[in-house]
Amino acid sequence: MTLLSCEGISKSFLGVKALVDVSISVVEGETLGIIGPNGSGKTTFFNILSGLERADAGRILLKGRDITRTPPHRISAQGIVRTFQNLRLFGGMTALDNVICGGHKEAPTGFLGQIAQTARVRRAEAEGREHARACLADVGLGAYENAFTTQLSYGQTKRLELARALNGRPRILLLDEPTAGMNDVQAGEILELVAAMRQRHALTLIVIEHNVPVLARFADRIVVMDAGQKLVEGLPGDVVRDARVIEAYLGTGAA
Amino acid sequence: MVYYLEQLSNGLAIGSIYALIALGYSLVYSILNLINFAHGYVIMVGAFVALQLLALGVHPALAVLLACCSGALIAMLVERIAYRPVRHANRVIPMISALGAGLVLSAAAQLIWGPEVRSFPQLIPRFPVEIGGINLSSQSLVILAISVVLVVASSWFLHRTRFGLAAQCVRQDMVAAQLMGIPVNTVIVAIYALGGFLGVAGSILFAMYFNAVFIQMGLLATTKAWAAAMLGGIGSFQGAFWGGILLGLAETLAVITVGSAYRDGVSMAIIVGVLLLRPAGLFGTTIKERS
Amino acid sequence: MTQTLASLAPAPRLRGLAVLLFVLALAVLPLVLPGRFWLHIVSLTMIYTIFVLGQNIVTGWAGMLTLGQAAFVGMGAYTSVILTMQYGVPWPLAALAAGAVAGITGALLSIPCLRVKADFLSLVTIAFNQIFFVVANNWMDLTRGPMGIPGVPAMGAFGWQATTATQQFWLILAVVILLFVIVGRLTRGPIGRAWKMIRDDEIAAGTIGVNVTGYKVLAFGVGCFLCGLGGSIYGHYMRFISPDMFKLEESLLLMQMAILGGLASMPGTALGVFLMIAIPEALRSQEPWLITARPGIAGAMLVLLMIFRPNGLLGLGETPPVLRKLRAALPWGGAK
Ligand SMILES: Nc1ncnc2c1ncn2[C@@H]1O[C@H](COP(=O)(O)OP(=O)(O)OP(=O)(O)O)[C@@H](O)[C@H]1O
Ligand SMILES: [Mg+2]
Repeated sequence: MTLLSCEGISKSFLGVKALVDVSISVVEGETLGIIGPNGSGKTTFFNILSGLERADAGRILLKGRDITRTPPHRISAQGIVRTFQNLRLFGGMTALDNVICGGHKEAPTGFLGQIAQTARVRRAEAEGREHARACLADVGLGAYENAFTTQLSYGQTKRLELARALNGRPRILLLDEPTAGMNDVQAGEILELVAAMRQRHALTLIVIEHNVPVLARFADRIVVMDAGQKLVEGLPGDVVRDARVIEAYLGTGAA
Repeated sequence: MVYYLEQLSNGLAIGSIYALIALGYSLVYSILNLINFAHGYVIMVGAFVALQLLALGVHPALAVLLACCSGALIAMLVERIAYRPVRHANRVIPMISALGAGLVLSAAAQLIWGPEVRSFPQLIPRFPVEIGGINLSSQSLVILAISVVLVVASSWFLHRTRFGLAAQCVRQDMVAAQLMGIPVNTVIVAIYALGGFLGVAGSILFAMYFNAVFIQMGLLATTKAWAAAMLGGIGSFQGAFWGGILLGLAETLAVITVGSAYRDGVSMAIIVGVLLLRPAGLFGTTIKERS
Repeated sequence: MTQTLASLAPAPRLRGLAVLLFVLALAVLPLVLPGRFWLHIVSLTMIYTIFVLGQNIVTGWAGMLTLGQAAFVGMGAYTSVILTMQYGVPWPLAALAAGAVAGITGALLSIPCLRVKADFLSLVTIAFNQIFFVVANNWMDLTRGPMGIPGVPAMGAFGWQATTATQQFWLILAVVILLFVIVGRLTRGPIGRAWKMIRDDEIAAGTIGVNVTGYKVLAFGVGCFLCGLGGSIYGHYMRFISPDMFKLEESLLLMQMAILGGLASMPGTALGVFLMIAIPEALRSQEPWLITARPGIAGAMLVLLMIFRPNGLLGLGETPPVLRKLRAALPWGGAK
């Protein structure tokens, strides 16, 4: 049962073809891995999915509904939540506030209700805070509620962004290089954490990763991108052995 | 009809002044994404410096040149003190810092030269020139000529020289430019200096045209310069020029049709109109922030 | 690890007590202050707090620079004065109308800028302020132009009028407290968080589910509403309004106060006004140059602040080491 399907997505920036006729779909509950060399269009694909960029051609269907031209906040409201390759945390807030912000969609935002602080509003606020606390604890940052992002280590900020995304109660979670800049041990830990969350919240995942061996263990299916095109798609074992992939991407080191 | 043609030449002159001032804003914005509010105050100080030098008996040409250089110098100081330390901070912060620097300049100018409106000597004689039966003002024609020369010269400088090439690189991608060994700081300082120089030239012409120098002229020119820059497309050289000309004509038209009180409304209408209808300006393209 | 100077304050319960004591002290001020002059300065300071609160919602919480708030103050003042004087509308209604007119105008004005890039809001608001001034100066039938409108009735309702300085003081204090409570509730909840998200990272805010344009317009509308409402109080307190009171320079002062005191901070708002209105006004006769030099001094402070403490004196952010040490030395050990 297809949850999300992207058909024939193309995008170019001032002549640079970032995506060329890319079709990718995911099934409910599946984990899709995306790999590809730098500049192959992976992040651009996420940007289009989350509504930050508009595709030049193609369409995106979520459960059969067209969301190609839907603005980011509505896409988010439909359960597609993402993280960013270069982290986009809120610098002026504490870790806990960052995560609470992730739950914005659930919060009652009626203007008069907020001013009157009705019982419902206060209850929702307290619940939101507890949920955020739980998410923060889930990623192992329970002790850092009041820390500002500048006081956290790089690895911790990556986890914080994950917690913020989880508090958005995603159905489809898009992770853009969640383990970038980490060694294999740390990367393994993060992906284990993600796997646990996937289990608990019945998530559908799309993960961009450079660490192929780690991803191969973790994903159900892998798409390989190269120069804006989908090069290969298949089971992790097959993809890793595919000659074209080895040539385009793995080349020297991995395998 | 003749009356309208005469007004046309006034519109062209005032428009070309706006263009000169607009270039300073537009250049900085296109490279740094910063509305450099200090610019308006810098050029106001420059006009006062020219006035002061003239009062001291300096030869007019030299006085104007020195004033323009003082504008470049102050602009460089502003960059160094108020802008560079906060270059990478959240985007409103450099704007506020620039405005703070501007307010310091404004207070200093007020302490030195006082809050009154001063008249500015007519360095360019004003007499009617008859061309094909139409009386044009000599001053308007000279102003237009000076502006065109300055705009063409700077356009050449920014498009045909090594420095210009470096500036284009910094504009496209500051980090990459830095990695490639382009002296980014020098380029930015030079851009500020160029903006200050042209801006003061503009403000001196402005002072001559309206025969007035006053503390608020910088901020007054700000909205007009921006209307010009946005009309032409931010960061575009020819754009700023044509935008300025169009604004000058539109203002002149407004003055003859609805009255001079509403002259200043034109620029705001243009800014809002451009934002609503054509954010990239008439001749430009925008570059979106990367996600 | 909490918030700057605010972290020097006692724990929340104690903090509530401190605020209560402060308000009580303010309330008894008219009974102890030696003369009208001092009462006037405190009243004026409180009125300015309303304007700066409006400015701070836009600039501090939502992170957009607006440089024309005085025009919205003026709009509110003229709306309210004209409604009460020419149409006999009772003051409370006129004050609400003043807020609404300013708020709606502001929201409409902001839509084109905010759709593109909030930077341009600063330009459009400057231009708007200039135009407001020109219109107020020239629309003689409505505003009497530069002569201004004298004889404005005092604030009041249901046949009661705040005619003495003390009554006015208490009325203003009550309104300011009410507004602080409302803004406090708004900014601590999801709406205020959405504003801060936009300020910190618009793109992330959008993908989290915040309607970025909508919340920006809301912030500007609320900010302008406050300025308009404050403008009504200002006009009926001064009993006279003229276009000169709402010039662009005034807007720049409001902006400076909001930033100086503290972006996104309510005590900061009060502090900014105290520094830039109460002190220079109090010293007006002894040190008249202070008023002239005020924008310049504050301008220099802005530059320094942006470099060293970009969120203002009481703004949020990390605690600088000096303050952390100071806090540790305090008897109550500071907030958690
Ligand atoms: N906003 C933009 N403006 C101009 N070019 C862009 C923009 N976004 C992406 N590109 C270009 O599109 C191409 C694809 O970029 P993208 O970020 O999608 O690659 P990627 O696969 O995520 O690479 P990486 O592994 O380095 O993250 C690159 O050439 C990039 O320079
Ligand atoms: Mg990428």
